Amino acid sequence: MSRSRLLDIRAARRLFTTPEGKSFAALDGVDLAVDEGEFVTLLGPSGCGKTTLLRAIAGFEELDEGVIRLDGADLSGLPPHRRPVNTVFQSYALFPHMSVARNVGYALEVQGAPRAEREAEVAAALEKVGLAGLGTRRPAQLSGGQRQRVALARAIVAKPRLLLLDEPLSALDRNLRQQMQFELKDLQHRLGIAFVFVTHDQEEALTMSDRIVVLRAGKVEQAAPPREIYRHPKTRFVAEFIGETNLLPARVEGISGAQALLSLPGGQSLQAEAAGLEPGRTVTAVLRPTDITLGTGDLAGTLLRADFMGADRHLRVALEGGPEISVIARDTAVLPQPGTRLHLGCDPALVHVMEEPT
Amino acid sequence: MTHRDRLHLWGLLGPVTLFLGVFFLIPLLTIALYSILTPGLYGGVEWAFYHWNYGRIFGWADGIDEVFEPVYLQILARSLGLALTTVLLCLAICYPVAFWVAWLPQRWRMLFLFLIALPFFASLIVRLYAWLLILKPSGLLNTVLLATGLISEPLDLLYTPSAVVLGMVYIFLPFMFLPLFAAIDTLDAALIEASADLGAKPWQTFLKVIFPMTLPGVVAGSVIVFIPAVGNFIVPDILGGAKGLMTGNLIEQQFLSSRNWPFGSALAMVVMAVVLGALTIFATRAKKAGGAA
Amino acid sequence: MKKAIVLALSCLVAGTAARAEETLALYNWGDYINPAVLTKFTEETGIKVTLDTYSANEEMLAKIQAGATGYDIVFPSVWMQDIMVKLDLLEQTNINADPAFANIDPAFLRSKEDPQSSYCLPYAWGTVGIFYNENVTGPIAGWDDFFAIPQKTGQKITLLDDMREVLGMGLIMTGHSVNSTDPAELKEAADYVTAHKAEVTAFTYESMPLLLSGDVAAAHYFVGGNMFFVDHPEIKYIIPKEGATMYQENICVLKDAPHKEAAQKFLQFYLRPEIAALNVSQQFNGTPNRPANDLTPDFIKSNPNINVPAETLARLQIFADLGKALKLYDRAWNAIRTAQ
Repeated sequence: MSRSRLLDIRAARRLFTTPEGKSFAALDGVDLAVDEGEFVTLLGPSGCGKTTLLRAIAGFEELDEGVIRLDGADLSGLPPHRRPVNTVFQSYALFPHMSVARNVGYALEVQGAPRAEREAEVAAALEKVGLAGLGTRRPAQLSGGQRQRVALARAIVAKPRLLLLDEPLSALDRNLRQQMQFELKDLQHRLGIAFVFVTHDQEEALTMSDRIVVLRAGKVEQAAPPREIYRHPKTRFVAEFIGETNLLPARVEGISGAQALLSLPGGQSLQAEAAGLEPGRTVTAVLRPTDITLGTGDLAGTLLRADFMGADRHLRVALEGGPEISVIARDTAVLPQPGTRLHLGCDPALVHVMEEPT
Repeated sequence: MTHRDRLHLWGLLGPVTLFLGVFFLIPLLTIALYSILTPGLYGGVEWAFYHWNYGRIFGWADGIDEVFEPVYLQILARSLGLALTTVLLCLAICYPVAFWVAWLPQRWRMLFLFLIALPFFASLIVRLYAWLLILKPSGLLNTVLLATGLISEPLDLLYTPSAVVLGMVYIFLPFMFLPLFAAIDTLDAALIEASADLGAKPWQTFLKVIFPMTLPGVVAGSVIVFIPAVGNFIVPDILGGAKGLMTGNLIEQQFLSSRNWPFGSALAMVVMAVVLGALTIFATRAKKAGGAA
Repeated sequence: MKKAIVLALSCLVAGTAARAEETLALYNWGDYINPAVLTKFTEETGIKVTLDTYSANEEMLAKIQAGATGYDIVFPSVWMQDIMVKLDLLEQTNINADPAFANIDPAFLRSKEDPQSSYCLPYAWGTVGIFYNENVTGPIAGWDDFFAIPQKTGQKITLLDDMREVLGMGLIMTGHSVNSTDPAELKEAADYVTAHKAEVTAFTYESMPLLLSGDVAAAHYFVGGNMFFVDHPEIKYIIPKEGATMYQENICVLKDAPHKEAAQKFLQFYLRPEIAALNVSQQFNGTPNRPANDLTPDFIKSNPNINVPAETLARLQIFADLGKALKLYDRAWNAIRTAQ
C-alpha cells in the first residue's frame, strides 16, 4: 500500500505544571505519522498523553517543542478554527440551543456556505450516520447513541482532511459500542478520511485500527498494526496492556536451526522461533493464554483453579519449579480438579520472545 | 385526587402560598386599593372611590383639585432610561469580568467572589456617601488627578447626571455579576472548543455559542438590576443633588411631604405596570432569540 | 393551649412591670436635643429615657397614625401640632397651669388649636438662613447676594432638599406669604426658584460638611448648623435681609402614651431655665424660655443671628398647615425639580 503522508509529528513535547508546582511532560518526544485514509489509534492508560496529543493536533494545546505538519505545512501558531481537522469530542459537545440540523451544519454556517448547499450537505451527513429526518430535534431529545452520531455527522460535514476522535464510544453501553465500532470503521472506509482515534480500550483499538500507537507517560512504546502489537509486543508494558498474557523469565540455552531452546526458572524448557536470538541471553517469553494447549506438550504443572467463563475456561496453573501461568481453554464436559498434574504445550511460532528481561 | 392527596398538596403549597400572600400579595393589593381612594387631608386615605389619581397621570382631571400634567410620564420615562443605562453599563462591565473570574484558579476565584459580595456588609447610604467624598471637588479623585498633573482645575463630578449613573452602576454591579457569573461559570468549555474546531472565528463563537448559552444569566441579571433601578431614589438624591426628579423620589414625596398616599400608590402601580410590560416584551424577545437558534 | 399562653404572657408582663424601672420614650427629630439634658433628667428622677428619631413631621405622623405604640413624647412643628390636636392624637397636659410656665414668652404660644398651651410646651425655635464662607464670598446680606455667588466667585451654592423651605424662599423673594394658597403666587415663586436653579449645585441636607471642606461656598440651612463651625469663624450665618422662615417645635404628650406621669415630669423638668439653656448651648437655636436666654453661653447670647432681636424677628415667617392647598406646592416643587 502506498499512501501519501498526511500528518507528521516530530519530537512533540508538552510540559504541564501540577497544582503543587511540579512540572511533568504530558508529551515527551512523540513522533507520529498518519497517512491519508489511515485509521490510527492512540492507545494507553489515562495520563499517557494520548488526549494531549489529539488536542495538540486540533490546536487546543501548543507544543513546547517539536513540530506538527499537515500536508507538509507547519501547524504551529495556527488557531483551531484555521486547521483543516475536526474533532468528535468525548462529551460530544453538541450545542444544546441549536437543532440537530444546525449543529451538523455549523461548520458550513460559519464558512458562510449558501443555505441550499448547507441543507443538502446536512441531509447527506445525517443520512451517512443513519439519522435522516431527525434534523429538527434538539440534542436533549436524542439518545446517547444518536447524539454520538450527530457529533460524528457534525465533524465530517465540512470534509476535513483528518478526523480526530476523543474516546467517542466511552459513554455508550457495551452492545452499542460494539455496533458503533463497526459502523465507524465502515464510515471511515466510505469517506476515505484519515482518523486519529483515542481510546484506552485495547479491544476497541485492535478491532478498528490500521495502526495502533501505544503511549506510556508521554512516550511512544510501540507503533504497529494490531496483529503486530498483539503478537510481537516490543515491551513488557505493551504486552501486558494488550490482552491477557503470561510473561515468563527465560534464558536462551541454544539455537538449532530455526528453533531456539529457552530454559525457564524451574528447569523446564520451551521452544521458540530463533530469529534474532543469541545464546546465553536473559529474555522474556510472552505466551498468550489462548495459545497454550492442554494435555500434550513439554511443560508440566499443577492445576490451581479453574473458572467458568462461558465458551472458555480460565485456568491457573503452577509450572513445576516455576511461575504460575494463565491458560484459556475451550470448555469441555470433563475437567481436571484442582491439584491435578497437567501437561501443557505451545506452538513455537506463537511464543514471542522479548529482549527485555523480566 | 383523594382526600389524602389533597391534604398533602396543601401541606406542600400552603407555606409558599402563605409566604407570597403575606409578603407579596397583601402589600400589592393594599397599594392597588389605595390608588383608587380619596387622599386623606393629613395623609392616609378616605374610603371613597377616586379616579383622579390616575387621571392626573394619564390625562383626565377636573382641573380644579386635580390637574393633569405630562410631567409624571416624563419622569417615568427618564427613570426607565436611567434604569436601562444602568443595566447596559453593568452588563458591559460584568460580562468580561465574569469570564475573567471564571478562568481564575479556584482560590483566587473565591477571593474575588468574596470581594464582590463585600459591599453588602456596609449600608448603602454609607457607601454612597463614600462616593460623595470621592467625587466632590476637594475629594479623593480630584486630589489624585491634580497631584499627578493630569488636570489643572478640579473636575465637576459631584451632582451631575454622570455621578448618578456612576452611583447606580456601582450599587447594582453585584446584582448583575452574580447571575452572570453563575451562567458563565457553568458554560461547558468543550462547546467553545467545538465551535472553534468547526471553523468558527472567535467572534462567531461568541455570537453563536457563548452569548446564547449565557443568555439566561444576562436576562436574570438585567431583570434583577432593572426593577430596583427604576424605583431607586437614593442615588439621584445623594450623588445627583436631587436636581433631577426620578419616579422613586416622586413616590417618596407623595408619602411624606405631599401627604398624598393615593397618588403615590397610583404612581407606584403605573411603574409596576410599565416595568412588568417592559419585562414581558424583553422576555418574549429573549425567548424568540433563543428559539430561533 | 390558648389559656396557657395567655396565662404565661400575663405572668411575664406582670413580672417585668414589677421589676422594671420607670421609663420614658421620646420620639424626636434627629440631633434635636442635647444628650446632656436626658442624662440630667435620668440622674434627677431615676427615669430611663429612650430616644427614637424621625426626619420629617409627616414621617412621625404616619407612624403614630399607623398605631406606633410605646412613644410618650413627640416634638411636632407647630402646624403639625395643630393637625395632631385635630386628629385627637395628643394628651391635654395642662402644663400651662404649672407656676414655672410664667417663664415661657407668650409670643411662642403660636398653635391655633392650642392657643393657651394646655396640650404642649413650646420647646425650641430657630431660623432657616444662609451659611457662607466669608473668605470666599465676602460679606453677604441676603438671597440676592447668595444667588450671585456662583457668577461672582465661580463657587457653588446649595439649597435645602425641602419642598416648603425652597418654595418658602421663592414666596419671600416674590413678596408673598410662605403660606400662600394662591396658584398665581405659587407660580411666581416656582418661577423665581427655577430661574435660579442653574446657579444651585444641589438640593441637599448634607451641605455642612461640604461647606467645611470648601466644596461649596454657601448653603441654605438651619441655624443649628452653627454647631459645626464653633472653631471656624470664617463661616458665618445670616438671616437674609429679604426675609426668612422660622420653625418652632413643641413638646407634646401622646394620647396613648404608656408613661404619662413620667412624661409630665419631663415637661416640668424642661420648664426650668437652666435645662432649656443647657439644650441651647449645644443646639444653637432659640428657646421660648425667657430666663434661659440669660443663662446661655456668651457667643450665643451676643450673636444677633442666633439670639434674634425684635426687628429681625419681624422679618420671619412660620409655616402653617396648608390643608388641601398642599397639592399646589407639590406641583410647584415637581416643576422646579424637573426644570432643565
